[in-house]
Amino acid sequence: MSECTDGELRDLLPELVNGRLDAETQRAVEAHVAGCEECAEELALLRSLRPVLMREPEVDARKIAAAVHAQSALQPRRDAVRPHVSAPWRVAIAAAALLAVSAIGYAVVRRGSGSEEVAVVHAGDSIPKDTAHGTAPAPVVATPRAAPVHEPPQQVAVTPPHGAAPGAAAAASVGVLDNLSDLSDDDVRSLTASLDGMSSVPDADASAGIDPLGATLDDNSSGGGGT
Amino acid sequence: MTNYSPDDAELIARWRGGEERAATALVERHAQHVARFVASLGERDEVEEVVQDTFVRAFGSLDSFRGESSFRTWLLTIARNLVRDRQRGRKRTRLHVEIQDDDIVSSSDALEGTVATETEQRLRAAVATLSPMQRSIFTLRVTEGLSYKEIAIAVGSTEGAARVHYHNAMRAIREKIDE
Repeated sequence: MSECTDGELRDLLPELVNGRLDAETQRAVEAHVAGCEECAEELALLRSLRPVLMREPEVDARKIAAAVHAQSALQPRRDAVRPHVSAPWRVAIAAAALLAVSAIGYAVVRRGSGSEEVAVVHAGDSIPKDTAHGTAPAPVVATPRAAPVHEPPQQVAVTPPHGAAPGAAAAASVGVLDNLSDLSDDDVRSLTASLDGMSSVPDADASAGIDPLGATLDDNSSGGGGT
Repeated sequence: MTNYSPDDAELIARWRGGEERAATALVERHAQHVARFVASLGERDEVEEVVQDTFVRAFGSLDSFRGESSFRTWLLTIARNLVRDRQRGRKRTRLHVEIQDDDIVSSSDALEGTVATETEQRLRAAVATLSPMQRSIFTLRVTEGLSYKEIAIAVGSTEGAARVHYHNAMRAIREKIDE
């Protein structure tokens, strides 16, 4: 038996058996096989083997399809059911959630401190001095803004209550968690009145000072949303 | 009236659009091919179960199918991974060797109940002597006409290795038949 001299064409015999060759290539392979004893024998073997290998095993396609449908009913198709949320909007939603949590947290702090909220002063806030009395400022422990000022609590100057003696300044040194019971009602009212006129009360929007959404929204508005 | 048959890509798009019949059509088109491949890997007793798992997984993660290979090749890849996991599980339970040994026998046993000619019996016996890897590659090549590249993707190998396995398998079969 003559040996094949064109391994490339011989290698296409399985494609020929399966009808996967284009017309031109098929003609070339068939022409080669016509003059190549080894390839002719191999082609005959492949044609004998194919139905043998094809015969088994049998599976129930309808049963398998039913299982697919049952599974897809339990786990709905992503495209059909779950709306797609682009990356920018995911950031926006996360930021909104953060704002909501911060606002709630602040509200809880305010409620918990009751009238003592007057003592809650934030670092970096400007606090007017009671020049009428010229008394020494009484330190009040301030808290950082709810977000995202990462400074430790600081001592800041706060105008002491009317008529407070210099020695009372020490007594008026209270923290946000301390009780103001050492102050008289008049002192508290006075302190409240002076603080009400200031702009240092923490914003409800705890995210003031950061702009996590800025770039994102800009991106979104310019059509930069991901897909 | 022409008998229009949508291709895989169109059926996949239809299924994604909510048409359940498209999935049925895809299963009917490919299930038998996947089953043959699974059987060639040595999973003869639980072929239908593996094929079913293959399709369930495929449709459950169809979003990850990018069309870089054909849908059938992708299915074969999933099937191969499932078979490998099963065989690893058996190995852990120390049944692996027994099943592999049995597999050669079961290939011949599968002939029982069928009226096979002497030639067919010899062919089956020759195929049964192949290693699982040789048999799966040879089956994909002969029954599907897959290219070596497609086969390499399906079996997790390289084109070169697939080519060598195929030619070794062909040589072994011819030698067996010539005995």
